[in-house]
Amino acid sequence: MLRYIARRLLLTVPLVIGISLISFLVIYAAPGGPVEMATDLNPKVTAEARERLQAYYGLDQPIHVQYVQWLGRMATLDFGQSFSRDGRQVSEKIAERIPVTLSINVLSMFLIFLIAVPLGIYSAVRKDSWFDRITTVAVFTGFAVPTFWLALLLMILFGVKLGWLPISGLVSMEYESFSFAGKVWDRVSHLILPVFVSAFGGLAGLSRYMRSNMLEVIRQDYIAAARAKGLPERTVVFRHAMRNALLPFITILGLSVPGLLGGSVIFESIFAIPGLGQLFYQGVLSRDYPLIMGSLVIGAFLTLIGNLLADVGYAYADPRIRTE
Amino acid sequence: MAAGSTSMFRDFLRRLLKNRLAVAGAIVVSLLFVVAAHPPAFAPHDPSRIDVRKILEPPSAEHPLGTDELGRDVLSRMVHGARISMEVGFVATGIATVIGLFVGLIAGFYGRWVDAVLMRFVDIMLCFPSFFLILAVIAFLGPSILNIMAIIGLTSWMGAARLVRAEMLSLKERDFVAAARAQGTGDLRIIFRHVLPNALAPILVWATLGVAGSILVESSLSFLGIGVQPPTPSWGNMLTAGKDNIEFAWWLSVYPGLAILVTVLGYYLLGEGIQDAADPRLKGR
Repeated sequence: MLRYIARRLLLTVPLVIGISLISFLVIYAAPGGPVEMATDLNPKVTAEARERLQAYYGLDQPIHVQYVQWLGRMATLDFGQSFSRDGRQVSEKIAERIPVTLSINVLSMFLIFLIAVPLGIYSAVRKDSWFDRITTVAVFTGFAVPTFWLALLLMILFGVKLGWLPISGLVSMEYESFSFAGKVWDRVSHLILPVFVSAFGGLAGLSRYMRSNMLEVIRQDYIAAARAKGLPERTVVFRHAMRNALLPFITILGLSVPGLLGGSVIFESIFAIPGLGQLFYQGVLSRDYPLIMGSLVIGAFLTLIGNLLADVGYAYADPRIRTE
Repeated sequence: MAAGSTSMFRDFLRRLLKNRLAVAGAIVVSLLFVVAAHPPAFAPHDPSRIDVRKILEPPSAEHPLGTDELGRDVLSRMVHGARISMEVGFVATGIATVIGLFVGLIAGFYGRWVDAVLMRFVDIMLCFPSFFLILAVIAFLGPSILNIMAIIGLTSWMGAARLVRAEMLSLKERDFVAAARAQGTGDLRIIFRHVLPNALAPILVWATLGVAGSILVESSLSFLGIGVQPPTPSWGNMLTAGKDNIEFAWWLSVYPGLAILVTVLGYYLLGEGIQDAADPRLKGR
């Protein structure tokens, strides 16, 4: 297992280099280079910020030297100072936003898992039944629904018409005056719509994926053998088939990190949630380049870590992968 | 050979037409083509005519889907928005398909280090949350319809590359390719005459789903205000107005979103139908 992890870590080295190269090139390929572009398009940039940028990018150096310097700063998570009025360190601003985005994404992954797995299994076991057909159509509709539209509709229904759920922020204005139970409910109620919306995007794909895994597993000889032994169908489905069908699922959960991060831009800006997605979106609107680059790099590394965890988790669950 | 391929195509069409969901998808897509080809013929009003006396009117006989915050007709703006969506969807997917084909063909055909380098590049591109990457590039280049098409295309070709490479790897081991090679056929001719035609169906499926995906991305960008810019109507930026008037005008939020849903669903069903019809063994998987 350790050997597998070591080998897997070694494989990420070229990816890390590639990610840093592309991020570096994105900012250099942009017309005018980082400083010109920032000062041209953003009237808010002061002369002082301009000089700071010149020094920061070391623009008098040849490009490979600049890249190595930039790489060194990335390694220490030094993304420079934000262009916004507070002028704080980008790394600091990102760090305080990550917990919010991460916890909503973990919650929504949990929700996806909780719904997609049973749905997929049941559809596969009852293939071509009414249940299967209805879920198939529902899944396709789910693929096609723009999440921001779903968010709007839910806001209209639960926020405006019924008035059951709050539609923006993480806590109410009067949060401090609530009792303990009131505070808990306040937090939970603010999370219901965002978590549901962010889960929705992945739900359709993963239940479909679970269904096809399950169909694949059910055709295997060992399932026929389990049935031939006279095991009850329940045991066959949940002990023999489900466990094997869940294996590739681990990888997919890891692979869905970039989608969830991208989705966080949308739902966080709709529900006014102070997470990484909202920070990034505000950075894009105000052309806060250090912030944009920092978020891009962090987003890519979070994805990389997600993939790594998925592969290690898969290898842990399935010994065949390790010895391959 | 020619007779064989026409009858194969006929079988394919027959299977496609038997699939009711795929036919429904095809109808939706064809209708969109007709509407997008000449929007003014289908729009009851001028989509940019502002009428301050008719701000945020609910659906009526004159304005079947109501009016927006500037008194413009929502239906007419949606009809014109259809054209934008189709253009972005097709151009972006066209760019992605060409890049994906190119990368996948080269990687799959030449194998070895060429393959290793290209596929690592694909892995690296897939590490960036594509929406982050798109937003970052738009922040640098500024939003315009052309930029959006190019950026979506440049960030969504990786799936096609992997698909084409996999097809290549399996096809190039086949006997007919070995036979062509034994006859002294050149690389290019083998790729374009023998391998590519056999990989056409999965690429077509990918591209059909890709158009749907690009339309979704475009509408998300426009909704966030960094895609198609007003006053040019797009379904996404109409929904921004819907959000701003969420408490008074539900029709502004409901109808443009419904248009996106139906369009994307149409492409998905058609794509899935093509897949099932091209390879019936995989049906229902």
